[in-house]
Amino acid sequence: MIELRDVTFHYASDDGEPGSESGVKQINLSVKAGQCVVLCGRSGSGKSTMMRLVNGLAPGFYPGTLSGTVSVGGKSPAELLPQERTMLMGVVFQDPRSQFFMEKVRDELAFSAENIGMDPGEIIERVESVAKQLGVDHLLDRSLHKLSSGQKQRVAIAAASVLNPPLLLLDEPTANLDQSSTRNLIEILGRLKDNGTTLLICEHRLNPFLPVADSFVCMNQGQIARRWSRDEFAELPMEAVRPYGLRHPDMIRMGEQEHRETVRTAEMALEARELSYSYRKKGDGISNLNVTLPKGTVTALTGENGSGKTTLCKVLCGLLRERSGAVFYGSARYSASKRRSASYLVMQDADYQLYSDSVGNEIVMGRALDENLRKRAYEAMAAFGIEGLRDRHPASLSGGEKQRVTMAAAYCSDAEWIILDEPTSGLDGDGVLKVAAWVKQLARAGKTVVIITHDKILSGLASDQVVELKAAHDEETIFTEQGVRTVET
Amino acid sequence: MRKPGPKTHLSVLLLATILTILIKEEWQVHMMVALSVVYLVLNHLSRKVMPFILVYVMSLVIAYIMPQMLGTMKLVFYSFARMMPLVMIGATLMYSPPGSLMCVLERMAVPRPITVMICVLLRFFPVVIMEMQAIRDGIRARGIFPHWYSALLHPAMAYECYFMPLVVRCLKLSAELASSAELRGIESKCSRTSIYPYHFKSVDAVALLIYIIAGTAIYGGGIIR
Amino acid sequence: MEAAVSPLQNRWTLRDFITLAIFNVVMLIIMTICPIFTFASYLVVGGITALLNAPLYVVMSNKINKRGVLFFTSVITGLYFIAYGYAYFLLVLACMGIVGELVLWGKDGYKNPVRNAIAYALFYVGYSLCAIVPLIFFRDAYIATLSKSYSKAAMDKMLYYYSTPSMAITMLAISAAGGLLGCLIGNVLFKKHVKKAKLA
Repeated sequence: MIELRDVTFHYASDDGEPGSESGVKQINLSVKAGQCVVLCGRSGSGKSTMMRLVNGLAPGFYPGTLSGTVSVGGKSPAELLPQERTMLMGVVFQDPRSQFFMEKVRDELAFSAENIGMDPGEIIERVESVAKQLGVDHLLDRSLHKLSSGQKQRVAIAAASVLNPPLLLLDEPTANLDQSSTRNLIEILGRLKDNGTTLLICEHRLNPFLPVADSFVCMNQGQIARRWSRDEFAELPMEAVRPYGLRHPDMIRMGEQEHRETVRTAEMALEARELSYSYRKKGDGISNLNVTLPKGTVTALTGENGSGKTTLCKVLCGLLRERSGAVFYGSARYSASKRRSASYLVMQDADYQLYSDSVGNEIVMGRALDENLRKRAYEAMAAFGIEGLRDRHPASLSGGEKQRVTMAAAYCSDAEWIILDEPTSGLDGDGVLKVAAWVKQLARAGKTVVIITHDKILSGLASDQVVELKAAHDEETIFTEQGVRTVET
Repeated sequence: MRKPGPKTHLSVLLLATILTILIKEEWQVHMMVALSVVYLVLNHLSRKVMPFILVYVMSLVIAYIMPQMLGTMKLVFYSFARMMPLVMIGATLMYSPPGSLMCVLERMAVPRPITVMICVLLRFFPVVIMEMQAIRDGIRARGIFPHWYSALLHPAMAYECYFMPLVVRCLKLSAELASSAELRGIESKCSRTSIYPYHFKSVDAVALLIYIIAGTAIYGGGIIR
Repeated sequence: MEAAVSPLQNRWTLRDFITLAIFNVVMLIIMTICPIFTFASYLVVGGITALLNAPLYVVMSNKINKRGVLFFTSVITGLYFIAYGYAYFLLVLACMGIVGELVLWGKDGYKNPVRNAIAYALFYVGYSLCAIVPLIFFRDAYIATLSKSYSKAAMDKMLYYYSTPSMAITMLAISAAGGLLGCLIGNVLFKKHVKKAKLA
């Protein structure tokens, strides 16, 4: 199905993509029809370039120089006619926000087929059948931006497979999904594979793919470093994958010694008492929640999508005003506006929180610069290893670097508590370890830290306590939060 | 019953524009609003009718109770009310499935990239609004403007805080969207189809005819009086 | 196989169209929100809109850098107002768009701050002109309805408040000033952020 022979690709220097990768060298890869191959490796190791070569966007859409031969289904993807390419492969990008063109799920599924001028009757039939096959038939008449991230991902896959292409390319499909959605997704991919679809997947979370993958291909610095069959990969010890920056379930044991003592000595605490909030539109939210977060500790907040994690954090940060209950810090009650100035929420997408023209200015943003602040800013930059980036524009950094800048800004700020929303989505194994270290760095500086995360490795490595939120489904789709469980690790 | 297609909406909008220019009397405007309500209901948009009527009545009321001193302002509200029937017809166009609209435009010899652009224009209003809200949340979550009035004290900085992430996101969105569009066959030379009806059928003819008859009646009524 | 692609100066790619569409969505949203400034004065709405949108326009013009940026922008704006029923917007704005394109004609016109500012200001003069047209147009109809219930003397006094020419000129001048100032700020922001981050 896919044949890459001695392929080298360099991006043209004027390409304006921030944090873009530097191409690939001497790639030899062949994927047989009906196989499922998972591409893994560090961020910036050339995985995305590989995907772009296979789907033909490089060197067409992304200018650059290519040598060697790329062939997909016997032809060069960059030279295919647009309709041929659409028939041959379906592509699912990482961010569902930027790949949907229509407002309704049904229209979205029909979009590719409409583009190549298929008969309307046949399109309607295909949409129905693919929706049934991938379990999105109940969503067909829903609006796309009201779906959960798991549902969006499934719709994206359905939209890509409506023409029944023999090849499906997926870029980090599980990055924003919780465990049950991930399992669901893998099962869907299994069904497509059983139908004979060839799958090429680019991922950081590797173990969930063991049920469908035939082999794992590991990239390092633009070259293929290792190949493992599924059985080989399943038995690899952590030491074998660490040099390539991959995630491994055993990473959870890497830093267990230190965080025992801190949790007990903390006397100040951020406390939520019988906190409730419900969204007016959908009626979901949180109700009667009691949580205690001691100063200088790290709390991991877990739970399925829709269990109210983000809502709780937005209330704690004062972005939402509680409907009932109260938030205390120490013994004082904090109102929403007071909470807002005492907290710092690091959003999942760093792009929304970078406003300055240089990293240095970003860290001290919004406050009068005095000697004291300057000292603290340098300290923060040193703590997060971004001194070298001081004069760079934040928007020109890579995703991981951006995240580090926002964390340094949080470190430097006067915020008493810091909340991180999914800090490790889309990060490789090295990235996860670093985030864990930085989170502890924040806690050592006396901040109360909350991490919203699906990532077992991160919560195991960095947290002092784990709070799991559970959504109790009422008949009127009101979520109640009786199932709060506080677990000491 | 099948709904009228986008071709009909476009023709009706054209007719309504002409009618708005021709009519002089107040009651004629009321009648045009009523006619637009009928058209909306015919398009299964009866749920959207109420807000339009409310806005219409309110702008008329405001235009009349306002003191004479504010001459221009009164005129603004009055003009707004006069435009209401057109806004309502325009709404049917906005709520019709983008797929069928793209299809019709393409059959009117509009080039493919432009139809895609129109589709993006229609689709991305909610997306951009969500992006703007996310940026606002991001600013608030960093505690840069701790009070509601803080942004008013530093308008330049507030603008910059919105501008920078918005531009970054827009550039990123357009690059990703364009690559996604390319892979989904948007540049294919085949002529487009749509899962929604886009041909001019009897129901379209009926809707158009109703509008023409009623419109003529409204216009004629003005002359007779 | 060697495949080095150089972008052609005036061939619009799909990416350009989508960039144009997204930036226009943002500008149209701002345009739709701005009439709330009517509470200050109806006269300044055009100017404030021009001021707020200018930096976005500067980024878009520099990013696409192809003939037709301003013309397409004016047509899109016009089409948007058609959906609201204001069909004549399209005509007025399209004409202004063509004039603006003539200002931008030539090598790198779309990256030239001064020419960009002039063309953009012209576009907003057109936009304000559009806002005035219905006022002039419906003025007579409105006065006609009023004249039924008021005496001649009261009408003459009233007409004073409805005189439009001087108001129109002030409004156009404010719009032009807003556009020029906005482009000035836009160029500063463009250099400070977009160029520094190597995004365009």
